[in-house]
Amino acid sequence: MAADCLQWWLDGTGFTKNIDVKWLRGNNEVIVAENVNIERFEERLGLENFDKKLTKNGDFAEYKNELQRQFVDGVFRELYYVSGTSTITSKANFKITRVKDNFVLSGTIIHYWWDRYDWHKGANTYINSFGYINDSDALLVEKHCGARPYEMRSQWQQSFNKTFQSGFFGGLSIKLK
Amino acid sequence: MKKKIYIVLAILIILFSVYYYWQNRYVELRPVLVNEDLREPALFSETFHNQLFKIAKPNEIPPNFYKNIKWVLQRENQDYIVKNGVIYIRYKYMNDYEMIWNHTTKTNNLEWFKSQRSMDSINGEDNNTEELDRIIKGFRD
Repeated sequence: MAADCLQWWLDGTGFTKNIDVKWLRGNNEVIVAENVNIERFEERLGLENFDKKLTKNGDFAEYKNELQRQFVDGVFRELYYVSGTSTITSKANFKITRVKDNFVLSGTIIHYWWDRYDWHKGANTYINSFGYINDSDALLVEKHCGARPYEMRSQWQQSFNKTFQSGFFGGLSIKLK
Repeated sequence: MKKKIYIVLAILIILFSVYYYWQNRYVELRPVLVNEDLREPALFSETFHNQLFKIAKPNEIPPNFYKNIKWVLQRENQDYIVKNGVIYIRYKYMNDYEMIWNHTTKTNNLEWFKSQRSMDSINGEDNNTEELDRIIKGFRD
């Protein structure tokens, strides 16, 4: 994948490149970042007090929000040579319904992974067993050989259908994983 | 022996109190951006995650930050106080740069405000409708 992305940059079209989801999610750091956003949604859902807002059987509420997580892959992993630092934006769209004494959460989280394949004057990239490479060298390739920076992206969706009960002291402890 | 136990307990209580005070004291909320100036690969980025971000300099503050930040904080159930027009939040929250970066980007995210407007409409919550409409209109103007 790293060689493929490098070639895309050398080709100089500047077109957005879609990164294979299966390959991307095969990197542990991507799953960790995805889970950080999911846990943050859990915290936020817990603060919404749905058990107090939804008092009657059949009452429902929508919950929409989005969160971003930045992460860096380890220098021994291929993803590091694809993107270095990248971002996952997770967009949640849930419906919470009261069914008697239970609360049913259904909906999706769409995760967008994105990064720009580019180089920055004055920055360095470390290549394992080779050493530091100056970004300015890559900028010379752009200037004289027609290579061009481009956007990389990937997208996947998780669906949820979970049932929760209000705790003894009230409040909902929502676990999405 | 008993005296030593009391001294150790007293030291532990004092240390815990200092830590508790430090984490919960109010500090000024400032906008946080992605650290584009990072010139070396970030090491131990999960443990020292704040290195990926930076406090915005005065000339880098996103245009709608101070206009919309209170609304974002309320919607995110983030505890804050205002003194002499300055917004303060607890240090433990301010020290989570990524969370503040999330708040900062939301202040300029028209799509997010629209999604909140649509959510309120479906949930029958009309307390914030005027305020949200004003914010959304502010993006268009």
